[in-house]
Amino acid sequence: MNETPTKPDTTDDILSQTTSGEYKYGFTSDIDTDIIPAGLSEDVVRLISKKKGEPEWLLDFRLKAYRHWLTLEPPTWAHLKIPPIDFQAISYYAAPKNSERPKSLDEVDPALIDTFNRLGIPLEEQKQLSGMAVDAVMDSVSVQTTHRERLAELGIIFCSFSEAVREYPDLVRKYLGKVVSYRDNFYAALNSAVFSDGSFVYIPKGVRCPMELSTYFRINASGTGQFERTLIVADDDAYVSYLEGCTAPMRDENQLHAAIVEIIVEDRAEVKYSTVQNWYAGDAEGRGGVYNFVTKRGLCRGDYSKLSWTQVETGSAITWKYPSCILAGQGAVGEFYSVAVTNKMQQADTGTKMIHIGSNTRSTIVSKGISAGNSQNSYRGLVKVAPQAEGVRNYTQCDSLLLSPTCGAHTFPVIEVANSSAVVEHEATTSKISEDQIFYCNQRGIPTEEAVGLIVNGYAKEVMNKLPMEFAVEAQKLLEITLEGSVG
Amino acid sequence: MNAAKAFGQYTALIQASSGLFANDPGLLARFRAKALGSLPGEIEKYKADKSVPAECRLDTLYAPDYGINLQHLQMTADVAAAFHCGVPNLNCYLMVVVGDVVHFTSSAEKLPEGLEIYSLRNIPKRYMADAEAISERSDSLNSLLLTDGIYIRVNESCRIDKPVQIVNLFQSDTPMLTPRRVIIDAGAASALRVLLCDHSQSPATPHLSSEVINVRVAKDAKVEIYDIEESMPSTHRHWQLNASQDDNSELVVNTTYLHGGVTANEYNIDVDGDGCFTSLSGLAVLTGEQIVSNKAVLRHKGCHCSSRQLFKNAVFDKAHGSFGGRVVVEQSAMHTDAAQTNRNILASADARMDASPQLEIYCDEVKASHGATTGQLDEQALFYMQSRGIPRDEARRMLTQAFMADVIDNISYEVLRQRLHVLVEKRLNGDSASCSTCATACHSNTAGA
Repeated sequence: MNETPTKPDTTDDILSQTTSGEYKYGFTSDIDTDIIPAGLSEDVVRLISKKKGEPEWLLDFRLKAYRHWLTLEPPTWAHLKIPPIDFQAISYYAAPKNSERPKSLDEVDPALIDTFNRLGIPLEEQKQLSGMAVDAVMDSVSVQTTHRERLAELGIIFCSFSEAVREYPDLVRKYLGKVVSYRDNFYAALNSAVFSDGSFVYIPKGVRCPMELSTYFRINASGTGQFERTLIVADDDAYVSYLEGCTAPMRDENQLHAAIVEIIVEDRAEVKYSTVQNWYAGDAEGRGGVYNFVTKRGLCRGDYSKLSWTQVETGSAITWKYPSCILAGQGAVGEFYSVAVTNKMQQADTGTKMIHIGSNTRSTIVSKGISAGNSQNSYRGLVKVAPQAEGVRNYTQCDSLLLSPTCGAHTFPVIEVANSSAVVEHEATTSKISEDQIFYCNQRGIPTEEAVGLIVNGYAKEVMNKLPMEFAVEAQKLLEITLEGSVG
Repeated sequence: MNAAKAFGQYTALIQASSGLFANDPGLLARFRAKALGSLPGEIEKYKADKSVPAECRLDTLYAPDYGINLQHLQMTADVAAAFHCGVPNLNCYLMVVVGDVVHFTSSAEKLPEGLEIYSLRNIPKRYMADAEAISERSDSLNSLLLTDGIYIRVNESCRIDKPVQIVNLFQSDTPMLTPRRVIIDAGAASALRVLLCDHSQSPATPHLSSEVINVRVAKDAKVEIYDIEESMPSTHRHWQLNASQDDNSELVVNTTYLHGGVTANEYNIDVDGDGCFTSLSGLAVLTGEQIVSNKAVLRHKGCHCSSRQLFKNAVFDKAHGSFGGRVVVEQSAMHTDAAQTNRNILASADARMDASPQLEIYCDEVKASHGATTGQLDEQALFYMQSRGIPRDEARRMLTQAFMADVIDNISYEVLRQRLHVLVEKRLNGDSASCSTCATACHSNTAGA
């Protein structure tokens, strides 16, 4: 950070300061964690399953996934430079040492509570004030779930994945791996074999979830990967808005995060999934940071169902993530709103897939990329219209903003249309902030730094507007931190 | 046949027949030697390329067992019949390539000062190094099998108004693979127009045309290349254009697909110089089970360059169109203005269209945009025309033609532009490509143009 902020004269000066933004969540909390030795083998998979006291069928699922994973190679098609990952050097399980699940907040390790407080999610406060139910996943085990009782009255199940396996095995078994199969890709197979915990949400028929459900992920222990799994099922006419936030402490070595999110949306149901991702991005030279390799997919199985993904991606050294919608029901709607900011040496290859199978399905994609420093930011998307899907409509817009002469912004859309009644549009522009706009602001007495902030915020507004209120504020804050120096 | 095996057999065949090439000039021998080294690596690339429809992938295209005219035997073709198709018979310097053998017509023998055209079999020694340098990046399989080709050279400051036309003909009873090559070397401040036409007169014989066009556009020069494909469903084609542009040069490339089988067009353009303009456009009318893939990679390296890409497809019946465009703006390419547009009409239930308009940008002083749409004709416009007494089918044809018009209007060579309007209209009316049925009509329609 610049100790004494000098008044920068030109846009370039301001933009060059972007590399000085420091990661604010880079602290480690000293919490006793139970880590199993590094390495991956069938025994490790069995050990994870045993530690979590899982039933036989889940162990089978894990072992099948593990055996399949052995036959796969890491994908190389993305526009990313991924250093070789030693999968045997990672510990696949790290749980806070508290064998008994805490019954109330008093039983939770005070250091952990403090960690959450520093993250800005004081559990107690949120319980009363924000009306959110938070299921915090630290390292790999879900620590605390709030608001359970109120949700339970409505028949909504919101709990950690392990708990769901214990208490609702039939539901979990019915839906697990139905949208993202363990055969899907390299990281999905890995996650299916070693996933440690995550969240499970079930909204019964006709229930509108009265509050926003939220999960906060944080990788704390060093040398561990986080492999969480989220499964959301919205039954007929149900509605839920789900928030996910991620941070990780600052470390020199890279940490792997390979998660799976599966969403099933039945008839006329609606799911809104919002993510603010701020994993540690590594330092200015690209040391450390999280590898965020995530498979997120929703199946809009029901007629007139709707799934909306909103993501603000500011962190991670490498992001490889394509939240997708399979629009199988008649008239299903898929939406994808994304702001991806890369700075320093970050790399992001992110986008979405909209697979139109049902007739009269509609999808909207709005992707805003912002690149600064020496980063590379790619949008990659697929819009596919199956032969039987009549009357499909898609609109895609992906814009890129370049903030430095050494960064890169790329667009790789793929459109496959096999039905003549489809209307598919794709639009994209790439440019830097125009001198005219900055000059205009200067002329009106707005310093360049603030002007850049205004323009970037305005540029991302279309997506930010889609975020729930509580998140929008945090996302705005993150955008500022990530582009610190250029955003006032 | 498995593709790798097919490639292996071609290589073995060439090595075994080296005696046949004893009289070949140095240039073809050098192409062959280079290709032998690079082919194995390229085969892997062929196999890995998932960006085009499976039918257009090179290992699929080259897999059938085609014969090759290694002995460079003269083949016969009814040149007169080909002229009935409408495109030829312009006032131009005409060359006819029958199979893979180049024939110079009388019009190509008296060339104006500054324009030189040679067969690659008798290219003067002084030009060999240039021809080889321009051909640096060519499809290896084409280089390996090549026995003939055309070298066109325009000297410095020579502006040639009359176009050079190359008519590719095919007539054979046995399945053939015909490697073809055109090398265009445009000197500083020169101007040249090249017209390429593909025809086939053997509807029943499977044929694969492998054509590589290598272009060097020197400083301040302008080169226009217009390609028209009007062959048979049995004729497949792999067409590759490799071009490089020097400072302040202009390159215009347009391809028109009217008839044919499976066509895979590739465009690799390197804009190395500053202040260049590049226009890349293509249109395709696809019916039956025709498949066309256009894959363009435009690499901007110089400053202050602009490029325009416009590709349009009208896809009928069970046809399948594909567009893959990539604009790369390198870090050195400041103030680039790049636009890429792909518009498609799907006119029947079984038609398919894939589009992948990509941007890869490593520089911030840049204006780049791309757009792709796939849809149908405007129902309201159709209704309006019907309400004015135009039958629906006729209205559809008119609207489709209007949809295609701006690609054709991009063509600055007026005679060709007018003729293409006519040809596209005829194509949409369902007129056969076979000359026997339309010869007179063609002539009477276009003779005055």
